[in-house]
Amino acid sequence: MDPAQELYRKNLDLVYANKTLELIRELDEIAIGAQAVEDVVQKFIDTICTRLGFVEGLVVTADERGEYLSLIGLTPTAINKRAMEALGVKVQDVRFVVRQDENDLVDVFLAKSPKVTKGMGRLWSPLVELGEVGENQVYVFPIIAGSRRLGCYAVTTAAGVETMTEFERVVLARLAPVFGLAIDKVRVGQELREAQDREMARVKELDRLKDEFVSLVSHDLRTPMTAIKGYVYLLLKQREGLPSEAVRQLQVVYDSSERMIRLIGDLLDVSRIEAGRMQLSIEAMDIAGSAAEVREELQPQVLERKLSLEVARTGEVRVRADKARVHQVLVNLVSNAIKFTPEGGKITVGFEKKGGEVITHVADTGVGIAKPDLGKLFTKFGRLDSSLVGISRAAGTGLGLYVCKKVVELSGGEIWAESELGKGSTFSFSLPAC
Amino acid sequence: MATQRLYEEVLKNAGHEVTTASDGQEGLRLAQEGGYDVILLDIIMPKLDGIEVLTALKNSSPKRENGPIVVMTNLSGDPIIKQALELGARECFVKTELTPDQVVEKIQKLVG
Repeated sequence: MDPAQELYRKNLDLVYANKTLELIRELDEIAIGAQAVEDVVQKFIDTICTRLGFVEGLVVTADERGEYLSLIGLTPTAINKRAMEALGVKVQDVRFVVRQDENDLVDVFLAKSPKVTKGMGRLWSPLVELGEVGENQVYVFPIIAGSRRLGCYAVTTAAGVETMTEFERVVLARLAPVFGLAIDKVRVGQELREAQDREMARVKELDRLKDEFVSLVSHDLRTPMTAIKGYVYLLLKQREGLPSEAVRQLQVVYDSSERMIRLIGDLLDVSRIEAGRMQLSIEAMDIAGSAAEVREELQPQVLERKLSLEVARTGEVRVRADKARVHQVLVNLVSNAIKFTPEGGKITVGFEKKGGEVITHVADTGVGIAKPDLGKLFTKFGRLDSSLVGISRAAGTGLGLYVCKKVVELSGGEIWAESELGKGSTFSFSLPAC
Repeated sequence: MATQRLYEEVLKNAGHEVTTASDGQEGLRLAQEGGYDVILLDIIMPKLDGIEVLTALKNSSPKRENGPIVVMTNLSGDPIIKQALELGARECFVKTELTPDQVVEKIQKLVG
């Protein structure tokens, strides 16, 4: 070959290489974005035909057991159209029986190697016998993933073109595994999504059953608790006429029953939260008013432990939240403060307006919380190792703060704590102002 | 039935006249005869539940007029409570949240 021819040849090679890379890149992008196999295949065959100048194309894929080759994509061109009209069915209903039909697609599928034939119409036999099969060359290629047969695809050259160019032959062969990978990837993706959906549905159903169970059990546990709390309360009303030891013992029974009742409530709350069934009635409310109510309620405990509890006198502080739940959170935080603050200590509840939110601070001069424990505070059953957990009339279960966190977050706020061992702690939560 | 006896005692001691029913069906019968200043209705009951009783009362007129119906339950399902209120209950209480004195207080306010 003379140098000029050599150069020309090398240039041509480069052009072809470029074209191939471009095409493969384009197909890769299609494969990445695709959600459904039909999508990928249709786009593939359209792209291949457009870029390489083929006139018609079609693609068949095999079922899992390799018994059928189903039509999955085809260019809407002359012979294809005629065949589909003649069959009168939808694309997804067209299929060849592998062990039975005499067909080039089947041959290529089984042999895993390409074939050349003439006349696209021939590929439709024996499903439909088109009298006019066409004159163009047809190239049939297998689609493979690894060593697995996935199907095959066929393309026809333009009229008058008798043979495939070297470039075309190389590219089409090169595309077979790309095709295979793309189909595989999309199939796996689809199967994964379906498995995920099934799993999610199962988990949801389990959560619902659990929630129902917990609701029933809570009700049944509360029934005797009502009687216990009620009658002990009545006995305590007669304390004047009872020995002081008996009164003390009755008080313990009363406090324990209240704790039990609170625990049942917390369990119910946690179950509802996890099943996504906690419903909040959000309304405009005065959180300072709620805090004042809580102060009244917890006054007996405060006095007994010789503490002082102050709520900032700010007038109305309006937030958007569920009134009952805000009350619950405040009782929880203040009760904890009471529990962990030794005699003579001080608890304050204050409010801060900041950027469209109201932050409520519950500060105490109590024993404080160690840094490593701060992270565990708002988790389920996050008990701290500091054992100042004496018999106390304050609330306090492993679930209380967890429920507070969920309630605050569901209301659009955040909850956090700051503390210094030996000095005290401040628990704060934010809620949308209004 | 311990809870019912508890409330019966406490309300009687507060000076009220109390009639009790042992199941939902009897409760409905008494309510339909009517003449009560307040009706305390549980939800979980034998024979007829509280919601069924409320529904039946909504669709009928008692022989003698009744005062408000107060649902007292240990269920705390907001849907149930909402349903009870929609069916005509004046208020709903969770029994474990109230002391006997608070129950008497609430009743007194409604009868008041």
